Amino acid sequence: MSAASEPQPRRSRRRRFLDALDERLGLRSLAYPVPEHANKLAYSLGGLSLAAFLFLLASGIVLAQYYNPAPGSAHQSVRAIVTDLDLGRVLRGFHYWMAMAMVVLVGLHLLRVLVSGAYKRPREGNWILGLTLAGISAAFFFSGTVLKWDQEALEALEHNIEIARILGRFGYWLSPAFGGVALLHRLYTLHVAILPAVFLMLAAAHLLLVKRHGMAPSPFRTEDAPEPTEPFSRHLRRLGGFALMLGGIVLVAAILVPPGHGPAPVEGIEVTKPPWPMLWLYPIENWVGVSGILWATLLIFAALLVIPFIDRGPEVRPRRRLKVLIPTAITVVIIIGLIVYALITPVATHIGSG
Amino acid sequence: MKKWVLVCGSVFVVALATSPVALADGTEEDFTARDLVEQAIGILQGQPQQTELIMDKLRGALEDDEPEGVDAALVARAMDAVEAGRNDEAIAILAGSIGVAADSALHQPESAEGFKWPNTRSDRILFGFAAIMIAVGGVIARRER
Repeated sequence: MSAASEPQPRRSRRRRFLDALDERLGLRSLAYPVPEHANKLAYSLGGLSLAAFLFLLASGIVLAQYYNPAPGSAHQSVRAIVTDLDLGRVLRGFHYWMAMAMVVLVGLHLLRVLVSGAYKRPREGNWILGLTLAGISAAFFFSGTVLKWDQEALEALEHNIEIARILGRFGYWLSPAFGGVALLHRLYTLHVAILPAVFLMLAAAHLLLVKRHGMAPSPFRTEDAPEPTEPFSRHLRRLGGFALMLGGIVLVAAILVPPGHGPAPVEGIEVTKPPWPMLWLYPIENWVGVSGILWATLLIFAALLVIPFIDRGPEVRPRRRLKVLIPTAITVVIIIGLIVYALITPVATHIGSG
Repeated sequence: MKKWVLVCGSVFVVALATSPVALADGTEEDFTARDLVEQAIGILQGQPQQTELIMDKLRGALEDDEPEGVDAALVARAMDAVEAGRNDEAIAILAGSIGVAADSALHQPESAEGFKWPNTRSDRILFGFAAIMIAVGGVIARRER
């Protein structure tokens, strides 16, 4: 009997199912080679940030079914989610802690890219895209803080309005005078429709550019021989595992440490401080006024934006790029110091003082 | 590239510098007596140690020419409670002075949410589910050596 006429071994049901999926979805094409270092946790932070976003999207969709963005009803609707809705407290807590996790993950991802020099040619465009995504994440965090519509939320919004005054015509959309629809309602539209759409489009472009350019080389590799590779599907598997862990940890936090909800907002007073990701701006506001928030934020983003155009050489080893990394480290230490300082200083009034 | 960055940056700065700041919003609010009482409640809840500021608000409410919707006698009683450090009592009296129940959600923060051990059936089920997620995720994420 010839080889051609030998009967083919029967494929298992699992194998036939996977083959059918691959034929239709091209799953095996995900097994292209990527450098071995891509499977380290440090190189999964961007993917984890995206996973956090997807968790937020899912929990946000459920929350949106019960939230009322009208200023006269918003506070009560959040209170009802927490006190009247089955598992509402856990749901809101999950959304809150996942937002905090996303802030941390985006920050760590940015630092990893910076330290490893992964913004260098030809990846400058992707660095700018990534910074834009970080800015959108900050806008998500801010608008989400306002939507709960308690005293802290109103004070955040009042700072937003003051900054809109400083921006003049650039800040007109952010002012109560625009359009005739309440600013809270417009921030709700921003949070649930505009920002998610823009984020997803830019995230897709960001990932496509990573695929186009390939993973940046590891800055710590000293061997001359080419780095061993692993299939990208293995990176995705590990990322899936990390994402499951992230979801589980945040769920534990939501159960054990549910976030509070302050009293209904009262205009004309300042009795709260911002949440910790924005707390570093509080001392700056004490010293300079509300305009300090705008200028400090713009300064940080502008400095990050120009890094690829200052540090242009091919060198990626951190020890050879101290002119970028030392100022970065100093800035991070200063920001942490400002947060700690803000925690211990008393609440101050800023609105109306410049 | 540098020329374009300079040009765009200059346009932005000039536009910002010449923008009429008042385009955003320009009106100053006058607070009514009721507003001042609500502000005093807000400060009592958020920053109870700011006694002087609270008393300023309440004096402002009493001195208002048109104190509609505010019971001045109750505001005066609340001022005594604030001076004596009885803040919870002051909040209750002030809420009554503007016709709002002291235990209404509008004037009561959610109780400060510290650590809370899962004590309901659904919380315990979710806690177990979270533990499974972490364990399964850990197994999936382990690196193959």
